[in-house]
Parts: sequence; structure tokens; C-alpha cells
Amino acid sequence: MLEDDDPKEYRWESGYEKTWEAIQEDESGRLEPSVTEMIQRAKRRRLLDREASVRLGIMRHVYIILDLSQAMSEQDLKPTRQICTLKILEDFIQEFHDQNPISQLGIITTQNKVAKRHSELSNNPQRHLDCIKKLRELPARGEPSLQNSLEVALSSLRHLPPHTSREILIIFAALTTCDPGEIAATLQKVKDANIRVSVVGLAAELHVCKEISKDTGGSFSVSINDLHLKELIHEHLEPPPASVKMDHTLIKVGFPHQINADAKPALCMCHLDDLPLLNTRGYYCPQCTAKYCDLPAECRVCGLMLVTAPHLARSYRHLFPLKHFDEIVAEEISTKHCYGCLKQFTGCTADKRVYVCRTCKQVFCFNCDIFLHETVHSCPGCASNPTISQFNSN
Amino acid sequence: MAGDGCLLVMVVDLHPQLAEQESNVHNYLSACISFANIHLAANVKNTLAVIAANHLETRFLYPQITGKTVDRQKDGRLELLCQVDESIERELRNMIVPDPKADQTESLISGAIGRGLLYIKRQETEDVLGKKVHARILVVKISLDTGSQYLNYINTYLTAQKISTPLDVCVIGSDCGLLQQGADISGGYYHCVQEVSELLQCLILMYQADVVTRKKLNVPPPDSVDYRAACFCHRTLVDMGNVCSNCLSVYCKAVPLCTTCNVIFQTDRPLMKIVKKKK
Repeated sequence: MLEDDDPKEYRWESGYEKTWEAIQEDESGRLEPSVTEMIQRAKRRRLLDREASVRLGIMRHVYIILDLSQAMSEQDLKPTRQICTLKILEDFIQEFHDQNPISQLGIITTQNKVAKRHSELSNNPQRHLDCIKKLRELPARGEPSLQNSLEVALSSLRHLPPHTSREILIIFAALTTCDPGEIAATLQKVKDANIRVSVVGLAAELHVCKEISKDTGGSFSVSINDLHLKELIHEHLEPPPASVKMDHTLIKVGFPHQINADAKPALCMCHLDDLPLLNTRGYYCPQCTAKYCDLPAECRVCGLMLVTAPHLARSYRHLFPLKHFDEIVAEEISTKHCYGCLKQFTGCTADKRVYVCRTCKQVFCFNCDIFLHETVHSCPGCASNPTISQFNSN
Repeated sequence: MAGDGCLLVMVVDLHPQLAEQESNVHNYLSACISFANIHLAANVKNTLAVIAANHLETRFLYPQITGKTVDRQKDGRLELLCQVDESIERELRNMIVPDPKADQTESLISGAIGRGLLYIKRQETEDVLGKKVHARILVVKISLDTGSQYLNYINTYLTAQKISTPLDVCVIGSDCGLLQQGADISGGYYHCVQEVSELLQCLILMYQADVVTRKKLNVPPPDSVDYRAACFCHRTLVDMGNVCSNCLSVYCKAVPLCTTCNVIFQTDRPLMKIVKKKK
């Protein structure tokens, strides 16, 4: 049995994380308070990591480059790396379109030394989900090619207008890459086009991946297990800080009417490739009156971007975020219940720390605090206070 | 009828303009309390929460904060109904305050919906067996809104959509486009009643069915909902607008500078035509 008296040991020698030692018994001999405290600390850490008051790139065009080489059929993530990653990507695509309704996503895969674009840049999540389903049957073989996949992504990202935020997310599992030329030349082209490349590694840290992400201002991380992989990929749901070279313009946008009653049946434009639906329900483009079943969409006839006001409002949470609440020990304040859910503050460990909003001074329990900052993004105490809500009107 | 109970959160608007007619207050409150009683009596597992909102504050009328236990049966009906009535009456006395200057203000309904959502979330986490709590929110509104709390409302609608809680709305008097959007986003019903005396009938007819039963009812689809955005300069609804790429503020015409985030817009200058000199 080796003791870790030398702190600089490598992990495979002896330095295991003794996680069982982190849990302590309290005076009455129970383990539960210690476990609840650890869970709470982990949840809070995720919230506090985000910065505020940084200009963000809201209109995002993201290409996901997925490595489907031989290394993806390894089984260190169950059942195989390929299936595990594809499952995480399905969740990611749903959440991405939920939180960034005016952004677009595309999928590129690389195997057998070539790169192929499987799904064009679009803001329709169904198309991407169908593409992911097809990728499950594709066998993983060959070697990946970083340069080819970057070139494919570059060819379409280069022509986008300058006010958008262009990103590439590479999910890389192999330890090699097979490139036709000099990757530094491709890297220079990527930097000139103002694209931000982030890499999530599944196997080990590669120098070339680290260089690419550092030069373009992206993030690089290697996952430890499947939960960690999910966390790393979901970090890219948030809009990144905008680069300095990004121009800003006014974008022409249409807000279509939705007509249900007294409408005449018409063919919709979004399903022209398969079977157009003939029905009365839909949204009509204000410029050319073409019909669409679902928004957001880009009008195929006149090129106008169609959104509804709630879609724009979904992005307001990044622009007007909810400020962090102050953490206070429960004994020090007079109110003994949570303002949101009416929970009484008993003396148990889960209720020891309560959270106070700085503007309206209302007290919230731990669960309400997490829910408000992750999902709701506005404080009901401030909304229930007539002076604060009148002052905040925009 | 579903086997599981349903949690109904009622958000009741108590703006002082309700007191303009004497009979209004009595009819309104008795309609709301009767509907709450009907909900509790329909299924033994149903639960209730009532939040009232006026222009100064929001307050939980039921359940009470102190959580007193039920008294002895007094008048021969279900003890829970008696407890609900007493609790609502007690808190209402603390809350109703006559205020002649309240005409221009609006009720703080978005704050009340926010608190209701937090209460629903707490019931979900506290359920010992981990079963899904079927919850719905019913908003009864009588005052007009000034449109200053758009962001708060939208955040509550998106949260209700995320936790699959339909938001039913019953408006008395004039239409309210903001709450209509909310009902559409979260999958609830919207209805506008003309008089307070019609309120109870409308509530029983349209909002009695819970979430599971609604899927089996054949309801006509909602009318067209106006999803246009209001421009930031004039506050009028626009069909086509220009959106700043940095802060997403909507303008009705092309402006050179964004007033919210102070960025200067790059406009495309037309290329200079090279004039060929004729000899």
C-alpha cells in the first residue's frame, strides 16, 4: 500500500483521489449533511463561473466537427465512444436551439482521411437530429484529418456577414491526424476569417489541438468520463465573448402573423423538399406572404429572417442576466421562510445558507436560488416591488 | 379524471380599480373562492395555492406561511374548504387598501406568476416518491397593463413552457395581448369575459378540466396571436424591423447608432463607379 507523501506523483503511480475521505460524519454520526453540502457546493460553482458585463456574440454560426475515426469505437465510454458522444450531441442540439433561437448549427464528420459535411448550417433542429440518427449507423474507421475538416468548415463560414459570431467545436478522440499539407497555413486562414475554434478531447491532450484553440481564442479541454464530457460540451451553449473585430449592423427581420381562423389552406414553404403540408395553420412572411409551419426560419422566397418576439426575448437572458444573490447564514436574518416557495428554514444543513437578492432584499432558499439563476432569469421579488419594476422598465 | 392530483395555482388580480362598482368586489372574490373550492372537492388529491397581486405587493393567500393545522369541523363541509376560506379572508383583510391614485399603475402579476412557479418547483422536489406533479396556473386579471414589465413576463412564460405547466388566462373587460402570448407559449387557454358576473360560469366551463383530461377534449384552436415586437423608439408594433446585432433591440427605421448599447452601425457604402472617359 503506497502512501502519497510526495505530492508531485503521477496518478498512475499511487496518487488516487481518496474521495471516501471527503465525507465526514457530523456529531450525531450521520453522513447526509456532509453529502448535501458537497452537492450544493458543486451546483453553486457552476453558477459562479460565468462572468458578466462582457459583450457577447449572440448571433452564432457553429460548426460541430465530429471525429468518426477508429479511435471512436473504443469502449472506455459505454457502450462505445461514438454512441455516447452522439447521445450527448442530441441533447446539446435541442438545448442549443432552445437557448439560441437565432443561431445556426451545422455538422461535419471526418473519417478515412476525408471530411464530409453531413448537415448544412440551419436553425431547424429536426434536420440535425435526423442527421445524428443516421450517424449512429455509420461505422467508425480510418484516421481523421484536422486540416480537411477545417477547410470544409472554412469554405462556408468565410462567406458569412461580419456581424455574426463564427465558431467551430471539434470533438476529437484520435491521437493522430492525417493532413495533406501544412496545417499552419489552414490555421492562418482560420484566424484571418475571425473564427473561434474550441476542442473537446476524448483521449489525451494533443499539442496541435491546444495550439489551434489558443491561437483562435477558443477553449480546450479533455474529458475524464461521460458526465464530464457532457458538461464540457454543454459549456458551449452559452454565447462566447464577442471578438474585437466583429462589426455590428442592423439586420432586417420580419415578425410574421399567425393566422388560425378564417385562413385559406395553403402549401407551406418549409417542407418543399419532402411533402408540403396543405393546412390552414401557419405563419405568413410579411414581405412575400409565403407560409411557414414553424419559426424561426429564413424565408426561402425573399430571404428575410423570420422570428417572433419571444424568440428574441430568449436571447435577452444573456444580455440582461440576473445578478448573483448574496449568501448569508440563516441565523442572522429575521425572515424564517423563503419568499418564493414558502419553505420554512429549519436548522438542517440544507437550509443553513440562504440567498438574498441585492435589489429587493428578499430571501430565497437554496433550491429557489438555483432555479432562478438557471431557468427563470428574473427575480420575482423585484417584479413584485412596484418601485423596482417601474424603474427597470425598458 | 386523472388518478393523480393536480396542483392549481390561482393568481388573482386585486387592483383597486375593481372597487369602482360596489357589487364587483363581492362577485369577483366569491367567484374565485368558489372555483377554488370546486377544484379541491373534485379530487381528494388536488392541492391549491392562491396568490393575490395588487399594485403594491404580491401575497400568498393560501397556504399560509405559518402553516397552522386544520380546526375542528364547524359547518358540516369538508374541513379543507373551511380552512381555505378562513385563510383567504384573513390575508385579504391585511392586503386590501383603498388608494385613489392607483389608476395609472398596473398589478404586479408577473411577480405573482414567478412565485407560483417557485412553489410548483418546490412541490416537485419535495415529493417523496418522485412522481411528476401535474400543475397548472390560472391567472384572473382585471386591470390594464402598461407594458413596462415585458421581460419579466416573457421569462415566466418560457419557464412555464420548460417545466410543462400550462398558464390559463381569464381576462375581464378588455383583451390583453401579453397574457395571450403567455397562454399560447405555455399551452394554456385564454379567454376574455365582458362582465364580472359572467366570471364564475366561464371559469367552471373552460378551466375546470385538468391537464390530462384536456387532451381528450375537442377544443377549438386559439385565434391568431399577435407575436410582433414593439420597436424601442415609438413602442408601436412593427411587422418588419431592423435588429441590432449586438443587443437585439428592435428599430422601425434604419438608425446609425443603437441607443441601448451605443454601437455604431457599419452601413454598406455603394462602390464608386469608374466613369469611362469618352474620347
